[in-house]
Amino acid sequence: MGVKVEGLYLYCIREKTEDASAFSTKGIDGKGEVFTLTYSELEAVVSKVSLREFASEEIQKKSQEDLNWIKEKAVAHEEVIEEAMKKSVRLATGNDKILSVIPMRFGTIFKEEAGLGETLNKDYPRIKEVLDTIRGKQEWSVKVYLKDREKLEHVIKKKNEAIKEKEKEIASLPEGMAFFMEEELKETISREVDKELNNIVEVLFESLRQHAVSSIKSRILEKELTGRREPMVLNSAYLIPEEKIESFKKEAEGLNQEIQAKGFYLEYSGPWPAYNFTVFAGLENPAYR
Amino acid sequence: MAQQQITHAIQATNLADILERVLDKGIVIAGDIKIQIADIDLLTIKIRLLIASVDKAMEMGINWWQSDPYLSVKADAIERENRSLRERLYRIEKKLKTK
Repeated sequence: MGVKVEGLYLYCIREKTEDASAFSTKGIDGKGEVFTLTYSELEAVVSKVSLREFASEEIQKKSQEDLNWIKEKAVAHEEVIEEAMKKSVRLATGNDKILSVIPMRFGTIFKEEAGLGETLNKDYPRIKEVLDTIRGKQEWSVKVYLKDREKLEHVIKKKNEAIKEKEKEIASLPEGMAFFMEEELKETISREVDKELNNIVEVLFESLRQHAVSSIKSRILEKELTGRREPMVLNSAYLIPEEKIESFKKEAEGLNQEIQAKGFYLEYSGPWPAYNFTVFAGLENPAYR
Repeated sequence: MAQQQITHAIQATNLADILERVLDKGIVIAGDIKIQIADIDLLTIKIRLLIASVDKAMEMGINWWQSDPYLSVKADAIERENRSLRERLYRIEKKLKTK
């Protein structure tokens, strides 16, 4: 029927490593071997996929509707890229060296090797440029959650004179009026809490980005996605030079101690593939500012 | 340098992190075939639908409907009623006091 049986799924691009050792992670289909194809200075990390399967209507439908399928495939995509980052050189400290990789967005498939080669050749200057911006740097993520809004409320009440005044006034009012005044006060406090929350988040972001060459605030993920009870109040990513990773982590830990007294906590993670800092110049990408 | 193990991103964080990055970010290169995944907003809605009952949602601390613009139209009406009641009460209590 003239339809080629196998295509190539592309995970990421990295600089040529001359590392011939095999990947232990399986490909996106759960069975294909992951391997690299070299194009001059670049290496494309790919696996073979059945075109009959991956070019089918069924897959396009699953990718829109089937949550389990989406989860499984997104994780598979990520795992390959993480292995591509950490492969190659094992340092004397026992840690793997982190390679600069350009992660692809999910779902890019080439029907044949020649097509992939052509595309990489055409995009070579841009790819090179992106590699230059991330070389020797790592992406780390910091998320902040508001665990205890009452605690933050308490902190604000203690230092806000206007609120204290109002509370006194309410105590002297007849019961009915006091009820409504209290409702009003609650609103005022809630506004003050939001204001303080924004301040704290801003200060935090500013402190952390001192260690980074680039930083970005991403969308706040909703509870349905995080699966947490506490609302997320900051979702941020930082591109950090290798030599500053330790100071960044220390800063994050210190800040975490600080904000816990106000009802927050933060979590940092990394190194991530530099999803937030690999973008082709001049191309529209809502994730990038 | 006192270096501990590198945190494995997948272990250390939620699946949400991966979905956010893999589906929304990363370089887009023109391949022959593109698997287009539902965007993250749509995924959120789907997950909401899975959380079938209100009780279950409350238990998980999910109360997004309280800030839902459609539902909060009602909240506006209540707010107005509250205000007029408050004014009435104020007048009544004032009258009682002056007697």
